[in-house]
Amino acid sequence: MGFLRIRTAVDERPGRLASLASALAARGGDIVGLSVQSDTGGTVDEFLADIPATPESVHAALEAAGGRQVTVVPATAHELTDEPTRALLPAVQVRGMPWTLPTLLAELLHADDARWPKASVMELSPTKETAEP
Amino acid sequence: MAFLRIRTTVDERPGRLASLTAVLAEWGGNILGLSVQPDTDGTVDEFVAEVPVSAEAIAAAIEAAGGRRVHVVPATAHELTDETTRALLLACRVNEQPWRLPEILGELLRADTTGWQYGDQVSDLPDPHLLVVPVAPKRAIRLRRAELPFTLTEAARAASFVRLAQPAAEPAAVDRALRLDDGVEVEVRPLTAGFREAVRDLHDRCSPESRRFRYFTSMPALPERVFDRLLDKGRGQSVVACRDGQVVGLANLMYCPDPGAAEMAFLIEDSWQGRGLGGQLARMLVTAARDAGFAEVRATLLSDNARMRRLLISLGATLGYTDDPGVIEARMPIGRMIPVPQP
Repeated sequence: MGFLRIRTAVDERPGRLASLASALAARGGDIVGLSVQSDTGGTVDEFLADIPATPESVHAALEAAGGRQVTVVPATAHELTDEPTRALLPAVQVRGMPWTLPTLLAELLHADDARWPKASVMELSPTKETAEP
Repeated sequence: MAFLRIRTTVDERPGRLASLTAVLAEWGGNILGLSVQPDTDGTVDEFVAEVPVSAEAIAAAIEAAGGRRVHVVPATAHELTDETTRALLLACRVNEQPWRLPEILGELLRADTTGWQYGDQVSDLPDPHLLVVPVAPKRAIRLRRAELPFTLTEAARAASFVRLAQPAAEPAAVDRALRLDDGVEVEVRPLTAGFREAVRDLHDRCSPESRRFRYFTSMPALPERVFDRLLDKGRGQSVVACRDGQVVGLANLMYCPDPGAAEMAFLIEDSWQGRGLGGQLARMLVTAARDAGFAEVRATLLSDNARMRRLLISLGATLGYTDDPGVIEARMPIGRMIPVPQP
């Protein structure tokens, strides 16, 4: 048993979520969280699921069910907390400790690393992996 | 085409979401958002969907697919914004206009009416359409929403939201001293691998009954892999209470596989029991759970553990039976607890 954070780009049409959800159910997956996010290339569905299967087999199953650009990464039980509640907590903390903003923002976005950019290392063309406010 | 907000209580089992989404798909519904919210008796799934049929038809179809307590209310396109972003924008408004907290909180929860309530908490009959959010010991916000009852998760959202209007908390001290009822001080530290020996010694000094109350069996020692699991920050948080180089108490908050829930447990050395140490550690764990965004803290205890039972009731827990007649489950909704004053 493991928690996985699963993301897939989908076409916005009735039934697309049902086919992805049943692909996960067929692998014995229990979906414990979902967010539907707009992105530049369309809609991205992000699932958090407790699923007794390997990330590779989940990946293959979702692609077969019509998911595009599927990514599957391990998640922890702590990530099961409600997303709006989770977002409000750093908003509370940042008032007392404004200098911790990069760290709190990294926590909010599950980023690996966050820091104030130095002018000399600023990237001119932002990639998907870096986001700047 | 109409936008609907659809809510149903479901049993937590693999495939339940698949069957609900299949029902919506069958009726031509396009799901635009979903949140999974733990509640007192099961999980509540809340969909926002664009559905070409009437609210009644959808409600009947979801009930037929096994959904309990189905509510379908109209939604507007305005409600399709990302819930997290919406909560953060409202948080900014509270920073600018803190005196409008009740109104802005009402908007966060889409309440019909909202306002301050002063004085001691009156214990109303439980009414799921009424939510009282404690802001200070004698001041709370009272919200009412006729169409949809409030879930535990919404209560936790509200509790973290009102903290925006409370004085900023001190950065949490990693090591802190606790003063017990009899004036003795103990140090509380996060559990690390360096405490392996000291935690083993604690188990050796505890009576079989104390160990049985903690582990439901009087196993003489804590297996290595269980200790390793307690150290894993992805599974939970643990602290030890120390005095004179010995560990006299171990408290754990472990994250449950159910969304939004964490479970707490502790082991206190016999000669340190009855001195308020368990109560103070329990309050620390509940605060830690609140700071980590959980909606509910649970504890399971043996039914003959009278001391633990009293402690949990003093924290506002509701006790319930489990499938095992010798085991009781305690549940504490975090959103409905008055914030613990910072020492």
